[in-house]
Amino acid sequence: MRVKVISRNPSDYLRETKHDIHKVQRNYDPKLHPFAIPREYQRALNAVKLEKIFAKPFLGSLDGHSDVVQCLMKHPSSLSVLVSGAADGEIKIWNIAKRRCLKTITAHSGIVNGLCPSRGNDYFFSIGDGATIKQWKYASTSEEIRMVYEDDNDSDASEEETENDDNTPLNTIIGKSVMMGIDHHWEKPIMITCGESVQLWEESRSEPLQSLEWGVDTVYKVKFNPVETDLCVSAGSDRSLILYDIKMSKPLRKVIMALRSNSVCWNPMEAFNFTAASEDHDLYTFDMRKLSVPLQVHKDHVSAVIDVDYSPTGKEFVSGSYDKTIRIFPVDKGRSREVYHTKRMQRLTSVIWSYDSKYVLCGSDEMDIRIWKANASEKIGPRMFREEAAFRYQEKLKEKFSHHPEIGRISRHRHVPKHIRHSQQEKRAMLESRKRKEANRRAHSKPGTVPYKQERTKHIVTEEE
Amino acid sequence: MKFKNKVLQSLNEPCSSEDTFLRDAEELGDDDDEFDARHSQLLESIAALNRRPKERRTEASATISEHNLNSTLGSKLKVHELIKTAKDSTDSIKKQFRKVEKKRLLNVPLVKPVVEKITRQTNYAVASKEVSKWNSLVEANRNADQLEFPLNEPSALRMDSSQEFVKRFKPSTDLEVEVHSLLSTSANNLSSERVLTEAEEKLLKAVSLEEARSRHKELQRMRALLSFQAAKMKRQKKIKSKTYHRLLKKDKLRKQLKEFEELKEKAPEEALKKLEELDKLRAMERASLKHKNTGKWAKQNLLRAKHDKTARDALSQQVELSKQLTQRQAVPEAMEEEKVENLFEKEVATETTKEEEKNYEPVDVNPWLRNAREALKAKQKADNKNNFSNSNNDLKGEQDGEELALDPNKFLILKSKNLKSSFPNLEENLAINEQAENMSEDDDDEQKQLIKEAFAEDDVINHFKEEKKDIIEKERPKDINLYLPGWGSWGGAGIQTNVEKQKAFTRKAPKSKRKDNNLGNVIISEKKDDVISKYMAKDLPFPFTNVSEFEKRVRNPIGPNWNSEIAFRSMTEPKVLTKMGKVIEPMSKEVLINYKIESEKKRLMKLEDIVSLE
Repeated sequence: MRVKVISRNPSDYLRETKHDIHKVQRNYDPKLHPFAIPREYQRALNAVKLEKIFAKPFLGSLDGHSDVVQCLMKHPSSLSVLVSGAADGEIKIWNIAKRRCLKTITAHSGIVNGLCPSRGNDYFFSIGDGATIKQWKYASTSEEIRMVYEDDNDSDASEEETENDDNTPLNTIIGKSVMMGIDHHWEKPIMITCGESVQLWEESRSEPLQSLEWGVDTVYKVKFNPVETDLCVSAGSDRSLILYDIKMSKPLRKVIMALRSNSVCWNPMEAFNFTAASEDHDLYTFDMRKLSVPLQVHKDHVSAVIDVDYSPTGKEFVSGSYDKTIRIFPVDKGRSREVYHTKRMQRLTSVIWSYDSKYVLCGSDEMDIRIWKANASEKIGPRMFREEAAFRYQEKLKEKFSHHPEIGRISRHRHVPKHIRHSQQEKRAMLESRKRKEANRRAHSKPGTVPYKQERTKHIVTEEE
Repeated sequence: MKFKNKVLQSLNEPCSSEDTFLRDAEELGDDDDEFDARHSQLLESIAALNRRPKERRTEASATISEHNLNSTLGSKLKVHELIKTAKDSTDSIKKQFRKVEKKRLLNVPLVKPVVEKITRQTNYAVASKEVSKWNSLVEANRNADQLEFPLNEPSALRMDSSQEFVKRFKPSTDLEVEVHSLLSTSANNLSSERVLTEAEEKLLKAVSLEEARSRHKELQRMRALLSFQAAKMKRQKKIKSKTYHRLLKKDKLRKQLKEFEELKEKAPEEALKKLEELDKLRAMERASLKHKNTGKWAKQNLLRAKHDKTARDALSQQVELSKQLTQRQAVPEAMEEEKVENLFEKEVATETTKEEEKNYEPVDVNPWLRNAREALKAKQKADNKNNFSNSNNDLKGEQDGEELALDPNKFLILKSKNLKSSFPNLEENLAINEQAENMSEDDDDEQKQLIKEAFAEDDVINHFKEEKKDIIEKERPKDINLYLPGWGSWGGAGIQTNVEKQKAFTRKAPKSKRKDNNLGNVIISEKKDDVISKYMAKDLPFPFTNVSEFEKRVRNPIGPNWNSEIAFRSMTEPKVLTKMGKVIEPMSKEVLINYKIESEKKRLMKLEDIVSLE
């Protein structure tokens, strides 16, 4: 008897070399794949669980300051350079990649209130001692330059921190009033300082160019718009956010909120949007053309938000709070997508998002600077082609099934420390009771006398022209 | 002080005070005799003078200026009048002054805060307008499927699409030119903007002229008719008059009745069908709430009925209609059929058939249709009679002789034919069955009968009731007994349980409110399906507007097992791409300019396409 069998040439379906992948013959006819969706669902579930398993966002800390880290500053062109100022007047220049301090400057006798880089130049400015602006070089000697900018791993000589006595700034400007914050124009050699008054400075001049005033209250933070470079926004102690245009040398508009804003940051991709970190635990994203109603209220913190910084892609921002956590918010969402905390991290004073959009850095009360991944479970470093494809597929699956309860629950869940949890509960109870009270009032008063108010407009007091 | 006041007053009111002084002087010079009296009078008058200012005390500085100038000058002081007294040589100066005075004066400048506010407002408007130029780009970036950062990287590796490439192609060599000319002039070329090639169109044109003309005419006629009809319908649809619609309804009904009458004569079977339809309509009407007085209209009219006669009439009409519809119709006492003498019925009809007949009776109950139905039946009877008249005769002949004794061998063979009615004529069937058993006239009926007999014993309704009871019992929340024997009392063998304690420790379950409690023939399961609910989205997620859209999204797999490599790759593209170790600069004006240029190019391309299509 002769038995007929299907015979194939092995070279058609076997790999050519040992490293080649197996060739898989597939028939994409959907009738042959009745369980495609259940399988994808299972994959999505696995992906979302894997995301949790690989979520290890903490990369390291920069230890070295001997007092509270007051402010952080990104180098405008070098990703590995970070400058930090502390409450004891010390400024440190770090190499993030090596996690090493490269230079320490005893800049001021008091708190370093603010730092800002000069665009396109090799120096930066710091303010402190009440009303002095000091100009510093990142690196003065060739040795330092090599250390700051070149990532050579072999140099043992530069292993130790150079204890340089070179504490003399390039330039010192003494102002007439107290300064609380400083920012540099994105194109021109102009700086803006805030404090008792908002003043505009030229880098090379010792007198302010102009003074922009509206009211007598202290202004804590001022930021230049990175896109429409002549605009800036400030946050003051009279609970106001003020817009300025330095071209017109006048403030433009003021919006007063229920509580003070601690910090502001412009969206680097959307010229007219900025976010304010408020004392009332929330963040408010505004369109500068319509200040009476914020675009979005971002809730999740349980204590005052101290600082905020945008991702350079303009899609997300990071906020640091007095509740000892960092949260990452999508610009168009009201809730955070991520929360970072460690046992030892205390009140946050400053957060920044690195210019390659991959890392988040934070300075806090307990003298450390911490480095975090912007995406907690992202693999750092080069990826193979198929690895990349798999990651992308997982991302898409998570997105596709994100509305299904099980997957949504797992991806949303974040463990938070006990104190956060308790204050969340407390806050919830408070809000509920407030809501109940309002509902009762509404129920027992003439219809229409207790109007419903949008959450977005609740915390805006007035817009002043 | 008083004196001063007086003096001031006298200045103020010159005539009155002067008079008194004069009078005083005259009186003094008149007589010595009356001196005392006069003196006393004087004293009195002085006293009076002293008293008077008390009454009308005025502030001097307010009324009189230091230089005794009148504060209420009639007109403004004019400069040219000031130099009136000057000599003639100053005429030109006077003219100049006059000219100056004719010109309008400047307004008083606004106060500083107001000025600042206005400048802020204008500046803000300018700045917002300036910033709005980013709108389109921001919008595009937000909606982009993919954004690659840094944005202003030069795209050196951009490839042309095939269309762009083809567009740019120009024949250069001789051969290419020749081929190109051949290709471009060919009649069989199919261009993108045309459905048919030139050659095909030519072929189509070759159809004879006459035919084309007639077809064209026909088409035109049809189109005109259609448009007329449409216009008519549109007009009619627009009419809002209630009376018109009522009349229309009546008219329709009348027409239908007429048609029905006609049908009854011509095609009784179709008429029966129609009857059933009408029956159904009536049932539907009965089932609806339209004729009940619960609708909005009825409630409104009820209010209005007090004063409005038409409303009252309308209501009463409706009430009547509802009465008519809801009245249970009495079964007519004896149907004609039973009266009709029928030989076969007498002989063959068994009790069962009679029963079945009765089962069919209620169909006839409809009072609207009774007349029609009776007429129909009479007709059928007549037909039957005709059919069997022959046999009747034959049988009658035999009856004479043998007195109703039937000969089983002598039977009549009838041709099978279609019944005129859809009603199963059971008598007839049975009769025929009896007569010719091998001729199965109506298989279906027999089948039904069979099934009925086979399941005669099954009590479906009771079964269902029991099942429902079981399910309700099973799904009912149960009482929980928390009583533990031995707690708080002696335990062990032979100890009686305390009934009261047991009662006290049972937690009563809440009474179940099932949806199917009052629904007889339905079981509604109220158990939540945990297995499925785990996989169900709670509500429609944001970007989707309907469920099917969302389901479609979920139903399409994106994995490499079910999609080709290219499709998989394109479907899993991330929304944001960044480059490792690259600084992402903020949005810059160059990006905006590039974007504007690109979008303009796209717009032009589109325009070109449209133009070429036309």
